[in-house]
Amino acid sequence: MPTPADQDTRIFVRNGRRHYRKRYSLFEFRLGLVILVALAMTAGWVAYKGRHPDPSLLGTEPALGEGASVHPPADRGPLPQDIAPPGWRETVVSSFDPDHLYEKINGRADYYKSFGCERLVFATLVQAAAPETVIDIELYVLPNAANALGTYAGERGTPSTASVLESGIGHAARNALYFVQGRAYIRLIGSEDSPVVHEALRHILASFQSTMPSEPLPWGYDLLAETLRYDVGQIEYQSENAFSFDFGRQVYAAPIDDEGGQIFVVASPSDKDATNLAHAFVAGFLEYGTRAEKDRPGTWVQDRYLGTISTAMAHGAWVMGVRGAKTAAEATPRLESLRQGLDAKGAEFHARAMDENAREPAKTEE
Amino acid sequence: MARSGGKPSDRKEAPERIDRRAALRQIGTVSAIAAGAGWAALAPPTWPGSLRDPDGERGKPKQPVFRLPENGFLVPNVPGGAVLGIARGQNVVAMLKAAVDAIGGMGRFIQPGDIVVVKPNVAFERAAALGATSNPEVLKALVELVRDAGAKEVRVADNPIESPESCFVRSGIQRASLEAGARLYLPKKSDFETLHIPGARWIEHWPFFWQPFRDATKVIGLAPVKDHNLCRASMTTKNWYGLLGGRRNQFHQDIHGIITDLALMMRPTFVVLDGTRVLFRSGPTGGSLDDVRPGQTIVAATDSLAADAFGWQDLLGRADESLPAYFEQAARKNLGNPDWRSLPFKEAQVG
Repeated sequence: MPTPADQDTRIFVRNGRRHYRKRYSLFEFRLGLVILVALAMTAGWVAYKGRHPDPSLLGTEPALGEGASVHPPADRGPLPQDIAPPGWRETVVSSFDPDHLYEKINGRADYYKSFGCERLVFATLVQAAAPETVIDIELYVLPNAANALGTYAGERGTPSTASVLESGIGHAARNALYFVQGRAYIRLIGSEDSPVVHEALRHILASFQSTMPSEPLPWGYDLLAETLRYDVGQIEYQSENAFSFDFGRQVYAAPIDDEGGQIFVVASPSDKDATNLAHAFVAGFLEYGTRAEKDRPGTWVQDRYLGTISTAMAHGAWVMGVRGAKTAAEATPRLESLRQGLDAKGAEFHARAMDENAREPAKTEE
Repeated sequence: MARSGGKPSDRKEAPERIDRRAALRQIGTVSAIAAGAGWAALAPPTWPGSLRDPDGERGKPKQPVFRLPENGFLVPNVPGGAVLGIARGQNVVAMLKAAVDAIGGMGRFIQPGDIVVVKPNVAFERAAALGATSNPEVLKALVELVRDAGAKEVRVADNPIESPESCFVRSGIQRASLEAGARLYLPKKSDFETLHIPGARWIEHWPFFWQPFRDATKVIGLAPVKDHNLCRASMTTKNWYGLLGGRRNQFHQDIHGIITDLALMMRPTFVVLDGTRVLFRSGPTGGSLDDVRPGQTIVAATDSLAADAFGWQDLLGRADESLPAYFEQAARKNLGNPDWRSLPFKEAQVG
């Protein structure tokens, strides 16, 4: 038993190796042994975990990334419930309003905003059996079908195939599907080109078609595709700044050659408005060219840089024109068929066009 | 003194007289203090000792400002040595090694003990095959090559557009980095510091992903070859955009100006242009395999503009189009030479 003096000495011990007892109890020995084993096991566990990291760190499970969600995950917008095909599961849903669109698509945000994009809903589907196989769903909600189609046309590039879907337009790539359903432009992007992805894409497409409301094709598509038989997948709609003119709003256009020549049409409120707008287009073309084809009716402009031909003219309350055509001779019959098409559609069609145009929400300056 | 009676507090004492010297001293002291206070309060802010703060700016807490090394992370030029190493083939490891060997080998750039930051493009949540991000196989080979050269630590860092965790996982960059023995840096808010970039037009003071660069001695950029809807192409110079923080999307208003600033901001040890895949349209996000073609090429270069110009002309196949505007703007600031054919280069066909 140590004396009080010994205890003092222990507190201020100068020789740390000094033993105060020759022997330790069996309990102390066992306790020490247990601690030693626990330390060894801890070290072993750390070494093992270091060599066998949590699979989720290396997996392709995108559930890790929920940081970009602006709205609560439950805010699916028009994204159908149970969108995942059998054998797939939905992981993360995020939603981006126009102010946060750049967080998802960065530099492309302004393009979608120019069509009045109201929201992007993003979801990821993961194949249960192979989590590295995923399909991303990008659902852009636009104000109306015309803007959805316009967005799609501008994003389309030059796909190898294009097909008209039930209530809109879409095309398939090797791993992806792009289509318009109602007033939504939807991109389904698979991570690979494989039968399992193709099957899932078809399932998701069917799910959208059965649950999302469709809308009739806008008047421009009706005129150019249904009546004049232009390739529906090539028709463009420019909500604003058509041909880089600030007055170029709600313009429908279709290609007339392989080098960018287009025929275009705009619905104006009155004959006088149409005449003024046609003059504005011609004045705009003249900024980059000079008058040409003076023997032909109307004002034709030859681009001084590209050598292409453009014109615009009023036809009643319509403005129709050609931009970037190779020659006036090629463009004239196109204009004539457009004129006949408009005449055949009659006054009701113009009223419908104006009604659809009026439904597009006014743009607000940022 | 006669006793007046009453309480002691009621007694009136005669005022203490002070002599003239003491009075002058006190007046002088008070006047000096008043003058000093007046100076501090009223003197224009730029005058010495002034504490005037008319707009409150001086009172704001000062953010520490960070700077990258004066000459970036460059290594000395080798006279006559190739600036551009171009390797074509199928084998990623062989191509990368051949490209780096062409510009002097990894030993020229990396010394034992170096702390090396590798900056891939992990901007989007896309599978690697879609070409919107750096090829993880190239990253893995690069990290291994750097480690073999004796680097003490290799750090892989990027600040993606989309959720960092998802981007790193989906692109395969996370797996490749960890398998190769690199340390991953995913951005957190606290990882950013205000970087001072003298001469920059848009980002003279801007939040920068600083954490990976603490004590770093070398920097390597690893960028894919991509079409870009705003700047027409995204390659090694645009790749540094991924180190910026803040609301960087505003720079899209002058995309070529900001890319020029990026060239000024980062002078890397060398860059690798990952042309194994080429996203030749619908960039920078892509999404369709129809927009990707095999490039089967890797370029290593000590001149980012030269590497980008090669990518534009050869890999994107746009030799008949003029170069994007940032080339000229950056070249005017002596930040590189877009005329890559006028520079020493070596080209090799490997496995």
